[in-house]
Amino acid sequence: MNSILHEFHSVAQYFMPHGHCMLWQKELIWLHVGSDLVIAASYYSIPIALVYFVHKRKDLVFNWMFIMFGVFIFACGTTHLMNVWTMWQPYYWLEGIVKMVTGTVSMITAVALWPLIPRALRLPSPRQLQIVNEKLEEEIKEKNRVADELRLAQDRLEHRIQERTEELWQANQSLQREISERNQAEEKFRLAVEASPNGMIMVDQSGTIVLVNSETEKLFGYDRSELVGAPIEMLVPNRFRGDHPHERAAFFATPSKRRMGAARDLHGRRKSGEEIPVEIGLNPVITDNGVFVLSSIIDITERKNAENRQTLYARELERSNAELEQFAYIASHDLRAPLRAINKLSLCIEEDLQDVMQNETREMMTLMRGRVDRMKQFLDDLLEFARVGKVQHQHEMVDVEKLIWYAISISSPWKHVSCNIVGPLPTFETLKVPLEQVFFNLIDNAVKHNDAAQPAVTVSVEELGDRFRFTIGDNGPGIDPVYHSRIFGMFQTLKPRDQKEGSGMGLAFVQKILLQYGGTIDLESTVGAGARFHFTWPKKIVFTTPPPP
Amino acid sequence: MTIRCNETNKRDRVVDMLLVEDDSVDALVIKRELGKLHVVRTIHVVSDGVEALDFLRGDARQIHVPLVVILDLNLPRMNGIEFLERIRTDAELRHLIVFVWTTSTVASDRAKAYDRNVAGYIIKSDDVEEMQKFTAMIESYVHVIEFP
Repeated sequence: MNSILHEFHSVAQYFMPHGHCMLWQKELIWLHVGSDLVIAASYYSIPIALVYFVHKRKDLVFNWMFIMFGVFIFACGTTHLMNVWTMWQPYYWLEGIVKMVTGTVSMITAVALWPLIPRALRLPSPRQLQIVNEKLEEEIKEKNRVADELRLAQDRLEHRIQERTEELWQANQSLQREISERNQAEEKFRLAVEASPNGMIMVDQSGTIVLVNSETEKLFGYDRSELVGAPIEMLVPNRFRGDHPHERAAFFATPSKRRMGAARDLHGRRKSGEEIPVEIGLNPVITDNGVFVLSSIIDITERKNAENRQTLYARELERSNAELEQFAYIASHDLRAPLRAINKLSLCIEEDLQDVMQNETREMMTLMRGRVDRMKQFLDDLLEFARVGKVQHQHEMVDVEKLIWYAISISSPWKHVSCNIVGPLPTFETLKVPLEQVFFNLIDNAVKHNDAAQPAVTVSVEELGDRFRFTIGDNGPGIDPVYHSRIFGMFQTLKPRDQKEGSGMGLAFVQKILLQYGGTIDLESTVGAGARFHFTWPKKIVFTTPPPP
Repeated sequence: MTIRCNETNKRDRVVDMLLVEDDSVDALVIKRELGKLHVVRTIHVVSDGVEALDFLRGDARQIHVPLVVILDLNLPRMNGIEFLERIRTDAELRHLIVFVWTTSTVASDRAKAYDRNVAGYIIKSDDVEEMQKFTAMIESYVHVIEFP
């Protein structure tokens, strides 16, 4: 080192300090020196600033350029310092080396700088940066806003998701409930079908049996396994099998709850080949899997038998009625004819013998005719009695008041009987003939047996819900309670027939009529206090045809 | 005043009666009553439609007075309606005067009788008065009408 320095120092002896060039003019020298010092100072300070800057701004792009600037500026500063030094000390080789270094670095820097310019130009200017920044800020704001909205949306979404989840859960619950209900319903259905006292068969649209119950098994003599999956036609008798699919199709075309084959007699075919009469009700069942038919089958063998029995009874009844009619005709015609003959002959005899006949004989003839009349009356009454309930009467409007007046007028034309009607008597639709017969007989009795000076008959009515209660009262002699039940017997009279002509059938007849049509009769009477016959008559007569045996 | 020989004084007019009745008592009674009438000369009694037709086609030809028929309906062998049917289709017997005297109150019997042109339909009665009215009617009838 020292040797180099020495070298330099020795070399330097030859050169003139730079001050010589300026002729050691103080002002000029100090201008150059001063300027160089300032420059050097600046050129030392600037790199420091740059290095500090670089050091501080670690993210600086092209920071090596800054270093390089620092370096070459530093070198340049050193050059100027050398200028100062060489003002007095002519170390021009040193100065030159320093300049060379500076030049090199500068050149490198310059060279390196040019390609950098385009790149640096591309770097956004502060204004651009600001714009970009502003834009970025805008974008950021926007993004924030969007982010906020997003968050809001997210919140809402989450909320909705929660709701939906809740809904789904509820739906799931109710679905599960529905499923369990449906299962229960199906179970109930199966139980109901199984428990039915009728044979139940469910058939699908192709006519295949899908469900049966145990009653069906019993009815047709098959096991369940033989029926399910088989065509329904296997239970139909051969002669109807051909038409059955067509009928099935017709039903499915317009399914509705109805009786199968409404006018026909239906039959089912058991496994044994035996046929049973049945009644079939059809119910369409609409499910998600399609339309089915649930048929209800009743074995009507018993009912048919009962119907047959009933028909037999009806025929028997018709026959017995026909017999009665015959009997009635005979009784009225053939039995009466001799009686009429007897009467006429007795009249003829009386006429022929009137000159020689004695009073007693005449009396006997009269008695004879009386007996004949009595017999005729018996026959008539007996016939009427037998006919009660066997003859179809018509419903007619009956004015009871008119009926009473008429009855009074025909019961005793030779007696003046006053009739007292209490309250309005009804006019209603009923069986006229039987009701008339009841009134006629009771009024006839009230008049016939009435020995009062001013015979009077009282008729009144009471409404008792679904029936009327009529009362026929008289001011006759009254009837001892001892005889109250006897007088309703057949051929029962309380006075000898010669005293009071009467077949004794009247009350028996009345009682039979009332029994037939749903009425009742009772008597209120004591000796000397007249009699009151009460009878009830339904407002609506329930059955009018003869009862089955 | 010329009196034509054939013309009979109405007051002297007589008829014969044919009683078609199977009940002997009824026949007896009506014979008695009709017999009292001056207008009735002879009463012929037969017991059914067959005998009646036999009589009309046989012995009746000998009768030269008008014939009035009293006809019961309920007769054996041939009843009253059948008899009427027969005479109304017979050329000679068509114009016979027939009174139906029966117990039948059946409306269809009455209708059938009048369909076959009876002079009257009378229901047998036990009443003495009714019988007297009947005989009075026969008397008036014979006196008043002109026979076919």
